[in-house]
Amino acid sequence: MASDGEGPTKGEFIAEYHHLVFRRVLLLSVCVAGIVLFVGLFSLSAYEGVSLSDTYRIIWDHICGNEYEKRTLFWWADRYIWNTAVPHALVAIVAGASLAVCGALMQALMGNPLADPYSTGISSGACLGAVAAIVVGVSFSSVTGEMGIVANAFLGAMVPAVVIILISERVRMTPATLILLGTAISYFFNSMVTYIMVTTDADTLKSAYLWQVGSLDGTSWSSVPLMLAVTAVGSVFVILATRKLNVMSLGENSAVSLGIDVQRFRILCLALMAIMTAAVVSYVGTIGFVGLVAPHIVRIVTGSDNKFVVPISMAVGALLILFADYLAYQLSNIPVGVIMSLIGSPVFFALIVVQSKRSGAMY
Amino acid sequence: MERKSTVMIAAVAVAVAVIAAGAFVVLNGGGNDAGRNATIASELQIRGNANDDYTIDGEDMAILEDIIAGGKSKEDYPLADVNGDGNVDETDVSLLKDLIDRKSGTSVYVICLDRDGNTTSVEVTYPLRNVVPYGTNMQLPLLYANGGQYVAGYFVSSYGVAEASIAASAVDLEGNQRSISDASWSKFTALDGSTEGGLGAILVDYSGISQITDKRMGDLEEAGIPMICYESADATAEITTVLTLGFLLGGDCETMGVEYAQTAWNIVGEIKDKLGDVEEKDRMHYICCTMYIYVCGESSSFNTSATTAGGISYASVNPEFASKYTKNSTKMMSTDALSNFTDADIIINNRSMDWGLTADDMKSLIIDTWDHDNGGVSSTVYFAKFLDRLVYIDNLLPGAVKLAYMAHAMYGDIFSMEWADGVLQTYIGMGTLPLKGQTADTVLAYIDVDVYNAAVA
Repeated sequence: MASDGEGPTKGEFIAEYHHLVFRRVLLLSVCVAGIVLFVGLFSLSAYEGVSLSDTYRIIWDHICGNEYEKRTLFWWADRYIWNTAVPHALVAIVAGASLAVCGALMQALMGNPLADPYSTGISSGACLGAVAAIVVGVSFSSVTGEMGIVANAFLGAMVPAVVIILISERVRMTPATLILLGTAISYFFNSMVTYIMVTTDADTLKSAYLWQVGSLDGTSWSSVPLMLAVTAVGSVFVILATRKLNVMSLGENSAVSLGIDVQRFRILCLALMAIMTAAVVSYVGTIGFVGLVAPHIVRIVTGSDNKFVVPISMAVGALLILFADYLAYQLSNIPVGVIMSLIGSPVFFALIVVQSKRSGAMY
Repeated sequence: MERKSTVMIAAVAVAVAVIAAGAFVVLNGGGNDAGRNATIASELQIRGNANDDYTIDGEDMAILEDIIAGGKSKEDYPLADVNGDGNVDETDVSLLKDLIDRKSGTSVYVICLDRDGNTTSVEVTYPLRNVVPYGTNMQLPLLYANGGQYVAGYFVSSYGVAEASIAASAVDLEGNQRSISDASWSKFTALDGSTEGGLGAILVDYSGISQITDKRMGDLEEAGIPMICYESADATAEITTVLTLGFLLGGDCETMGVEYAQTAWNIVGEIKDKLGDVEEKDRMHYICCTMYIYVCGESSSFNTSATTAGGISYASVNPEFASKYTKNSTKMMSTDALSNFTDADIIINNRSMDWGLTADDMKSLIIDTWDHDNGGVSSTVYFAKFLDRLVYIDNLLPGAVKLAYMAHAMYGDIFSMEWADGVLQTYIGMGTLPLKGQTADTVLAYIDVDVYNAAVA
């Protein structure tokens, strides 16, 4: 870019800026188009008797309130698409978006490219709650049945978050210490999860393990409201806080010198992230890699400005889970968590190599 | 401050540990395999069959009129309430009149089982058309009533000859014996959407009821597709199923259903009469098996059939056996699983075997059945102490024929092989389509050690 040892010219700056804007728009457009495509493909999987274009027509007609004659092909298709495929896809989109936002938030907050929503031990807490409900029927709340598992997982997820927040309030901690603390809590909870699981029968163990791996099977409209509400509110907050996050990315001292109450901001963000992650994990289990990989993909393509990283990460995260889940369905209902890890690890590996080649560091 | 934090962390850790420990105190108990008490009282399972016989006619109308006039109590005639609304009134009379006239489009209330195995009434339109059966024990009774022509689709057909009468136009929904996949269910709903007037009913064998999940039941209820469910593996239940389905399909199917059922009841009556003089101590104690090495529990429908054929369940006299084999079928875990129960008089093993056999097919099937390879171990090893008391009976046969062969197996001196073969011949001659074109030489109805020895000779 620089010419003859001088800095970039104004024209080069503008061209670079336009190029960056173009890449942001392109990535966002690809993600939105991909999401629309996969919603159609999911609908087609839910009801094979109609064409791909019919599925969009059926969804649109349903939204517009147009009903089909009872027991016709389109009536059945509408029933299956609207009751099965649409909530399934919506849960995937919300889960992906939420985990990606939380990943971007954690990485900015901790100044650590390896941070993800599970770094504070939330997933292990959720696991203990869910496994306690599945294996031994213990409920931490008055809710029972399928929702009892969700409630248990949510409450379980909140335990490590509350512990970390309480400690942070009293002891000044660096981001690295927070992550180490999260790791320690994870080990503690995982040991109990393992202990419970080795004592149960094969069928129950399978159920518990499937939950642990992360799966969108069995999701329905009842899974949507809480996840959607928490994700929407949380995402709006994070998007509004992106300027502060940019400052935090510069380091704690810079943030303090620019007037940010780092300790308070960090605790607030941790609490928000814990609630957002718990709301997702309690319904779909611990789907890994989305929160880690999605922000990295976005940063490579669009730069590190969190004002763009956060919203575009939401779209990338949603697309990633939709894609992984569709692949999982096509491969005889393998849990989406397995596919996500299968895709996520090489993608992450490639991202690290590409970025290291380009700049020698992730940030 | 630091001390407070430490205390707080410790408190959370202790709370979590206590919850985990408490979890083990309330460990769930094992699955409850307790049986249901699914009972269906009448012969023809149709509301309006007030006198509980094989058909709906003027005699039923006379009872309804007597009830309305106050001469009879409706409590004594539960099926007189034709529409199942709790009253017997002019609406029931009007409905019954249409039923007696076999008027098309009449609502018929069928007594059957719900998903929990409780008796319920399901409304269907007479005559029943465009049905979809699921489960061999439901599909064959439908075909025995010559209802193959009214099958719109089927989930599985494993017996090409016995089930050949499923109409050529019926759609293969591609399920299997054990499950209906989501794709198969989608095909079922698409079939409903593409069939003029929609599907008439889905006919489900109760042993496969787990495939009708909450979600699928919701589909059926929302669309208004009736589910007629019976537990038809038992021979006598199968008889009433054929009778009822025949009535619902109407015309020649009703005629076939009546003949099929009356012949069967004659056989059941004959068995009962001839064994009337046999004292309890002289009755045979049987153990039923299925799928070669699965032992049937006392409540198994194979057992109830063998009891109808005059035997006494071995489980009822041996508590150790009864407590060991509580499920409908339990796989033998070792080849000496039955070694403690050698005082049982007979092993009746039920196997579904298709027909249309050549002499060579017959020989191969006999040997394969007798010496069946169960994961590297022959069935003869499992039944080594019972080989002279082991029989196989074709489970696809009409219920009455199975009863006849069971009766022969247990009381050969009273029920000869010729007599049992005669019962089979009666059904072949009846014109029921699954047995059309068959002879005693193309159907392998019964195998015992003599039959096996003759085959290997």
